[in-house]
Parts: sequence; C-alpha cells; structure tokens
Amino acid sequence: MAVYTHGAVGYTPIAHADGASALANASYQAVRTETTSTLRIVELFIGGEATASTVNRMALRRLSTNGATPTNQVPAAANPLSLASTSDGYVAATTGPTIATTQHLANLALNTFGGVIRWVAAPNEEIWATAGTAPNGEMVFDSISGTGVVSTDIKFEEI
Amino acid sequence: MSKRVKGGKGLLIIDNRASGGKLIEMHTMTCAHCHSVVALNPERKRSRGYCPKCNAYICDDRKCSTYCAPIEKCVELAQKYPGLPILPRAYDGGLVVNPEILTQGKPY
Repeated sequence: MAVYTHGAVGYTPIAHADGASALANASYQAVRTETTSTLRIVELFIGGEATASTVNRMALRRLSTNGATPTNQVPAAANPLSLASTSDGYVAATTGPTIATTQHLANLALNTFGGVIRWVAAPNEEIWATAGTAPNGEMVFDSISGTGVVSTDIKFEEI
Repeated sequence: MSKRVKGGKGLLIIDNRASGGKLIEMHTMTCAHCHSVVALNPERKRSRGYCPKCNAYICDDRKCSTYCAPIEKCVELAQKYPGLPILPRAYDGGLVVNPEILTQGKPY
C-alpha cells in the first residue's frame, strides 16, 4: 500500500474543546478521505517551535461535521512511483470542521519549546477513516489546551 | 498468536530535553474495538485486555470488553452506511450506533 505524508508547518493552534465548531483556518491539521478512498494513519509527528515554555495537549479526533469546501493539499507520496493519493490534507476551509464529542483517538502532550513527539502505529493497529462522509471520513489533529507554535505531520497509508 | 498480540507494538517518543525535560520512549497499542491509542505503562502489573474473537489487544474502557466491534468490520459498515457514526466511539468506548448493527446488520 502506498504511504503519503501531509504536513502543517509552523501554525499556532487554538485550544479546541470537543464539539468546537467552525475551526479557524491554520489552527488545525485535517486529513480527509473521498467516498472512494480509505486511509489509515501510520504515524504522527509534532515538532514544537515555541520561543518559550508552553505545554500543548494535542489530540487526534474525529469530526461530526466535515470542513466545507476545504482547500485541499496534496499529500506527498513516500515512494515516487506511487500514484497520487485520493485522500487529501487541509488546514483551511470556507467553514472549518466541527470536532465530534466522542472518544479521542490519541492524546499527546509536549512542551512546544523544542519538544518533539513521534508516534508510530504497530502493524495492523493503525487508525482508520473511510468513505468521506462525517463522522467516519475525516480526522483532525489539533490542540485541546496550549497554543504553542507547532509543526505537525500525519503519515497515512491509502487502501 | 498474531503480531497484533505478541510483539507488534507501536512506539511513542516524547523528547522534551530541549526544554529541560526528559526523553521518554514507550510502547503503544491501539484498542481493536475503540481504536484509541494507549501508551503502555511498563510498571503495570494487571493483565491487559484481550479479545479472543479479534485475537487482539483491547483497552480498559468498560464497553470495549462488553462486546466485540472489530475495526475491520466497522470500516466495512462505514462504507455500507456512510454518514452513520460507526467509527467514532462514546467516551466509555461504546458504540454510538445501535450495537445490533454488528450482529444483525440493524443500523437503527
């Protein structure tokens, strides 16, 4: 299966509680499937870029409402021979997504003053999204608390 | 035993050394039912949850040990019923949709 990476660089997250709606552009990173695609996240990366000690609690969560007309960013293929991915990443939309009030998929806390987090899924323990439609088709990676500047990467495999 | 139970663990690296903290490396597992990532506490003495149907690790959430909702099946159902909240889980790990969707295909 082909592996792709989508990155969101140097953004200031906004602390979003569960259920937060219409997320502001460039305050989150989202990945979205199409009706014909399925992805599974194999790796998450957070690099802290704050200039002072700031603790961020970052979370990977599902959406109750997908972003409207997202500005799709084409994920980079890990292998240059791979086809272009059907799924996309985005950090902006005409109306931002709404976070679901459901269980978080991953909670990762770090000091963004130079802190780094890398999570790699075990084989067959990846996190899935499919079929495009909310709440199954998209996921958002953002902050629950803390607003230190971060860069985040989501690496996923498309099925 | 499958790799999902024996030996196949995820890896979580948290490096806060630049800000005076520590480098922490932990194994992780993903619950086969609610799909949440769990960092494994190396000090834990109690045995971890296991689903014999999935032959996979499950987390400590109460609903995850109540019934078997394997992710592969949920992905198939999510494709069959797009728009139904099949992949998300309630805060206690329970299904958001009617659990009978798993056994009898009844979504409502």
